[in-house]
Amino acid sequence: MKMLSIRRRTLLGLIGSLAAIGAGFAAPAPAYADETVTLWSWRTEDEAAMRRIFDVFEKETPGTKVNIQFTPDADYQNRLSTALRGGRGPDIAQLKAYGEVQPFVEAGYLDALDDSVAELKNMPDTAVGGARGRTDGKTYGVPYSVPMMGVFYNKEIFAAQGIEIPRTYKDFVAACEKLKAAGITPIAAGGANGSAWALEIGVGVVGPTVYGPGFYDEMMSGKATFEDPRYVTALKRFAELKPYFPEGFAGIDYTTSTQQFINGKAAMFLGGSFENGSFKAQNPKLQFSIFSFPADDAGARLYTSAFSDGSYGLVSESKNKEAATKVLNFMASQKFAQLFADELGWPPARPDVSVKDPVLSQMMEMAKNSTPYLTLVGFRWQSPTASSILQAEIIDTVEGKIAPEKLGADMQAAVATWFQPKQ
Amino acid sequence: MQHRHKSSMKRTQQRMAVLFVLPALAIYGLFVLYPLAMSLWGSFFTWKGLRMLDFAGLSNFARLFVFPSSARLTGALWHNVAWFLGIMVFQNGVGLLFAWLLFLRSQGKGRSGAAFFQSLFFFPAVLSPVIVGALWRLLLAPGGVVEWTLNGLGLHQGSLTVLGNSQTALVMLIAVDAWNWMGLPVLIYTAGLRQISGQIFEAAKLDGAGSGRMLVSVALPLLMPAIGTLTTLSFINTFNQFDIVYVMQGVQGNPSYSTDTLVTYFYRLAFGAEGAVGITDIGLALALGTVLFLILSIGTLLMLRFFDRRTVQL
Amino acid sequence: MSARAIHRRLARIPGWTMLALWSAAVLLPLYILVVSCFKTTAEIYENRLGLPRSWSFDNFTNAWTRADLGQNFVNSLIVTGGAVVLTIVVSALAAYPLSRYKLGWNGIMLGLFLSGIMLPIRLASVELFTLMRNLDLLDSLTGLILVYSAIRIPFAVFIFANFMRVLPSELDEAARMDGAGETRILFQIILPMVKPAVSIVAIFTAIAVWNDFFFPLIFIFDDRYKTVPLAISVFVGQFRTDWGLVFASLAISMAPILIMYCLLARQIREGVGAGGGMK
Repeated sequence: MKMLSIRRRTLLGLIGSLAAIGAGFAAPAPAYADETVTLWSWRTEDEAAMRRIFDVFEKETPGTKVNIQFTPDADYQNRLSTALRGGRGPDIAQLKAYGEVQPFVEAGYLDALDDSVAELKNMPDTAVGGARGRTDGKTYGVPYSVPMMGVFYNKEIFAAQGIEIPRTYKDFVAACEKLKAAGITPIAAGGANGSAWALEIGVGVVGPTVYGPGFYDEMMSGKATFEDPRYVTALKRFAELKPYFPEGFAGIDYTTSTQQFINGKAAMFLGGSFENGSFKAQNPKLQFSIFSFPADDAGARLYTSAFSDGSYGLVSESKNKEAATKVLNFMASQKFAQLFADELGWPPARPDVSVKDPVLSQMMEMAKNSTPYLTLVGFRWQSPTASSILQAEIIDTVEGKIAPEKLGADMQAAVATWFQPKQ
Repeated sequence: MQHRHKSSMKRTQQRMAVLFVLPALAIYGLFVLYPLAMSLWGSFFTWKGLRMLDFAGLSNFARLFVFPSSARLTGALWHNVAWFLGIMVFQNGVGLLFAWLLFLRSQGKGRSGAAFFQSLFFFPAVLSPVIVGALWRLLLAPGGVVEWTLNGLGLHQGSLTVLGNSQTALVMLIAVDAWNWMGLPVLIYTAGLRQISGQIFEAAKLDGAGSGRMLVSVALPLLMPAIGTLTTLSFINTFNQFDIVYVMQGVQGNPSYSTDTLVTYFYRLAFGAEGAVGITDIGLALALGTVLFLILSIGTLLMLRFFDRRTVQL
Repeated sequence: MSARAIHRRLARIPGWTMLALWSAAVLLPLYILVVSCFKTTAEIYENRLGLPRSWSFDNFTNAWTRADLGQNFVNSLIVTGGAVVLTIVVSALAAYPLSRYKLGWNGIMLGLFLSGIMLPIRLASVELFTLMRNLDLLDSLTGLILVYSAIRIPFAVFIFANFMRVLPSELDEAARMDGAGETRILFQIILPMVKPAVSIVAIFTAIAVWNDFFFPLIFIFDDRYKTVPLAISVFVGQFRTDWGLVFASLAISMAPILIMYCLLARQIREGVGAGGGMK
């Protein structure tokens, strides 16, 4: 018995000392003199710019500091949802838009901001719409950007080849042929290795010029489906561009395709306005701008797909709501929108800014004729989403292994399991 | 006296055993078994977003096997089976061949040459999946080193798009996985071969057996324990396959779900994916988790039993 | 040289060729990994196979200073070291009676541990998170050490039990006659006899823990407790198009494991082989 107790003591001692070693590294409560608001974002690329924007805020608002923490896009949602469920979220969280924000709203993790952030009333509905709760219609986040889509083009290459901005689809194809003959890749595109969202954007660039601005409402009311000839034609048109995509298109990922455009190896890039800042940052010498994808008809009014990219929401369990609300009010202000446009070159959520960047001002001009980005705004609400099918099958569609009709039918079959048309 | 001593020793042993097992059991039970059991229990409930609601019986399981989940489930299951078979051939089969070649070359002379190859072949296993994935993405991309080599040898023409081709992508990932873990069968089989008495091989040689026949009819039956361990390990690892797909093809297992596995499908259901961020179906995810758990436990048990029967006692 | 001997040598050529080919398949990608660390992104895209234009260490110094890896390295070392020690100690303790006593419940208990090898713990990440919060183990290196140990215990118990089972029973019986306690028998007699098992468990635990970024991702919120892979993943996100920098940061993060592998190559060869062939 005595032996046993000695052994037991040795053992407990061993475990105890291990625990003690560990406990030495446990987190002490962080002590800050000022009130610190923690903000989570997935935009790791924008770390420096975001820091500069909030430096301005901190200078103006003594006593409130903003601690921005970044997690890469692919892991952000996982981290945020586990943290919120466990009650360890940030004070302010960057949120996706539309269907992708609903799980957080429905779980009660976010506070509605309609009363506490007055400036939301001065923001356009395209921006605020993405942050609205499906059931109660309240606003759960301060939107920061309304991206739109178009064709980025290399001005130097266009000038050297004597190519004008194409007015019709036929002109566009002719321009591509000319570039190809000159040994230049006409369009940088790629969606391999899990980056097919970039090709979904490509469909978003081409789509509205085929199916027109009214199509979104027809889809929402159930009059049209993804099997509609207009939508299938849009898919077909995107797939038809294959000869102008880079060599080995199926194996090229998004990052590589951006490099081709940035390094002047390709003349055009189908993308969202958020590329503006990163293109510039990676090659300050690159001369580029953007135009709307042309329609068949030279006189047709050209529409672009637009959507609310996301918003910043107030976490219900935050112990710092007063300071966090100050930060959110700043983010809804005209001043933030101006800084955002200047620092990042994206179209900000509110249009009342003075734009210095010619590419950004061109994008904001194009965005005046916009239609909701169909697969995101309309059909990214429940699993399986239209986007998940489109992203899965788009490479094979471009490669000619899946007919556009089949892709449209697959998307329709997937969303039909949950989609309820609005009467 | 003797008897009493023995039984008191038995009692001490029982007490000691409990005491010794307890720390490991406590840590393992608390941080692995408990959360897993809680998760599996959740598969019998309906979920709204991240919240568990009402008891739902088997309805999550029923949903798993009908449209739209059925196609994903059967696709992923088939990919896991193909992955397992591919690893058995490309990794464990070729690994056996390498081990045999090294074994033949290490007899008599010093073992340093064989040791060098063994360490070299095992090296990729210490690399993280992130590095392995990034590396092979770069190598297999159009214009990459593999394309350059194949075109140079005249085996292929034009751009190599094997990762973006839904007919070849899965095979490529299996090959990368085999590259990653080739050292394991090589090490295990060479150790197994060295345990076999040299006299057995000498006897076979005297009977006029070539090295090929010696491998198949002499060494193979005696390697049964090693084969059993490797097969079981490969089964468990391939049915847990996630990292390589995630890093190289994204969580959707693109293109056209051709590299989707049961765990990537689980991950999408539980955490969402690009194009459906945060849009989850946790009830369905946990039902899939339970099915995966059943496949793994039954499969492993059957395999252990199968190889137990075939083990030749030396 | 007799005709037969020449024939025998010739017959070996295909075998050597296969071994050489696979060696190339292992070495070439590693070569690319190393030279890419010294290249700019443009250089990597233009000249994938060649040597870099200059052997400048800019990518390494940039990665180290910009990702601010110092504290992360300390954290990773603590977590990896802690998890390795804890796993070895508790698993050896558990495996000893389970493999060497006649208890009547050895089989069931071993089976319970064994089942942990095949369970995908990620299935339970949400439940695990709630548990960690309730135990106040979020933002704590202790928490990571406990979780990693828990995950590695099944494998360690399995390996230790396999190695301990085949040791002759006279070993501990003799020691017991001399009046040695069970703890002493285990740590001074049995454990030194199963050194290969200790090195396999140590190495596999170290590799898995050092490389993992899933659990730090969901359990660590404070920058001061981030581990290397987590910091690297943020860094890679930030500079995702600067491949040279990305490769350099990955190489830095791998360095400790590579050094360990080179130092312990022999133990790994022998340990892994012996551990796998046994039943």
